Amino acid sequence: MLGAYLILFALPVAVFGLSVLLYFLTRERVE
Amino acid sequence: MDTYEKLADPLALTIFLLTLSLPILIGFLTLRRTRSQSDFLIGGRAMDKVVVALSAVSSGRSSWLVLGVSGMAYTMGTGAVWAVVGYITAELFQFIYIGRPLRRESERHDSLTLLDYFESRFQDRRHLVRVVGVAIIGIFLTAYVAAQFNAGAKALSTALNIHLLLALAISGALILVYMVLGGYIAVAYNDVVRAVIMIVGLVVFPIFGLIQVGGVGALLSTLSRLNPAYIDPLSIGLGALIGFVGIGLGSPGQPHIVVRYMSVDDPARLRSAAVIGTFWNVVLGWGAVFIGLLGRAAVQAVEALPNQDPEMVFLVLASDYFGPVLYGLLVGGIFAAILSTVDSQLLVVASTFVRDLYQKVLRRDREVDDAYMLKLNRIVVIAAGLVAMVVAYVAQDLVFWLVLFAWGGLGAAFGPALILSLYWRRTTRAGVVAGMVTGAIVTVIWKQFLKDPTGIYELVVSFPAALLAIVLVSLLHTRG
Repeated sequence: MLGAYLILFALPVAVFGLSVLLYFLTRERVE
Repeated sequence: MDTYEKLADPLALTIFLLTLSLPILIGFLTLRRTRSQSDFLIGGRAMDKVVVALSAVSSGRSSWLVLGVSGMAYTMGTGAVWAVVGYITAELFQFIYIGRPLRRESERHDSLTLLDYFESRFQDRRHLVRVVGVAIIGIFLTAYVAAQFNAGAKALSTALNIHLLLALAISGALILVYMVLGGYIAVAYNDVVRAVIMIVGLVVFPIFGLIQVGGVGALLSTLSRLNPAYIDPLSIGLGALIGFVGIGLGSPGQPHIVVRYMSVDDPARLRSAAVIGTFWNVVLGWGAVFIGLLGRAAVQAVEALPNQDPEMVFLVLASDYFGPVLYGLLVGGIFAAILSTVDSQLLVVASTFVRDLYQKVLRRDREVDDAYMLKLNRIVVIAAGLVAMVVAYVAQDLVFWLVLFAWGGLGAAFGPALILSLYWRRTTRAGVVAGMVTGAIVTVIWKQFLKDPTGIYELVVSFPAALLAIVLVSLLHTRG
């Protein structure tokens, strides 16, 4: 049951969180 | 059981038909913005990040998401999530790590197509990369378009109880009118509308369903009673899991997806597009999985579904849960999902023949008037659409055989070539050609002869094979 909760709720949050993380990590410096 | 019987309700039918014909209105609205070949093929590199994000999400996902993934979740339970994780993650990285450099390079060389980019990247004056690419796109993408025309027309013919040929003509007319008017801009804005309809279908629907069954806990308990494997995400086995995640390997090589990155007004905005696109992808993907799970709880025996087909679960639940307005919108949304991929792919097919073959190979030494090219693109969109519709009708077996290889074939042919061309400076023209041919051929051979005996998904093999071919041939070519 825990696996089901993780894959149905924690995983989508993690994937979206990764997109937010990449957004900040790939910010380009303005010279 | 007739899954479309609710369409007999005049209100449901009206909403359904309005959903289907809305794109034509958008075509007229975007007509004035389409003044050049660049506008027609990539929106003049002036598209908003939200439009690019939703268009990439919407055209990348066909009815496969609405019908296929919900069907998978119905059949195998929570393990179906792995089928959406791979492509969502791949497309997230694509927006940033492929989209941004590709957008910059394509502006620098005035590339309007993926093959334009390859040719300028390798200064390929003999057009070898372009010609090989045209052949691969011509075969796989045309089959893709024809197969989806066929699937859409079959569903429409059942829904409205009309002859398949008439349904095919209606589907074709619906797409071609707005494509001819507004080209890429009309397609992209239509993708946005479809993404919103799909959100309604794949968000409101599961929430409504969960309330009906008494919440997530009750749903999982019911599924567990039916079969404990339904709530075990690892029950599908390691091979299937790798194969599912491997679906994502196909994304970077789909010309109709990567062309979206080339259309954004500012490459820096692809970072925001990545967040918006991922949010939409996550919601749609998990929504489809929830619909399948709810479907299993509601219709416990597959024999109770029309034609015993798990992919019918979306339609059955929509018919059970909703009144005429939402039902009409959701069934219209399924057609919208099918059309959102067809139009994007058809535009790439047309651009492949007009821009890549005619303008850049056959008329390479002559100046060609842009107004003439715009007109020619419009004519070829109609011609390619008509050919695809005829092929969809007269050569169904061939089309459905070919389309089995389309996602993998395009993914392995163009994905590794694109990634290495952007990130490995020693990549050569010969290497890329070798990679394209290897990717396409290995996909076909593996899927045809070795997938069943080994249980390994074709892209998991053909993608690295193409990468290897590019690296080896590039190194040999440089030394030679």
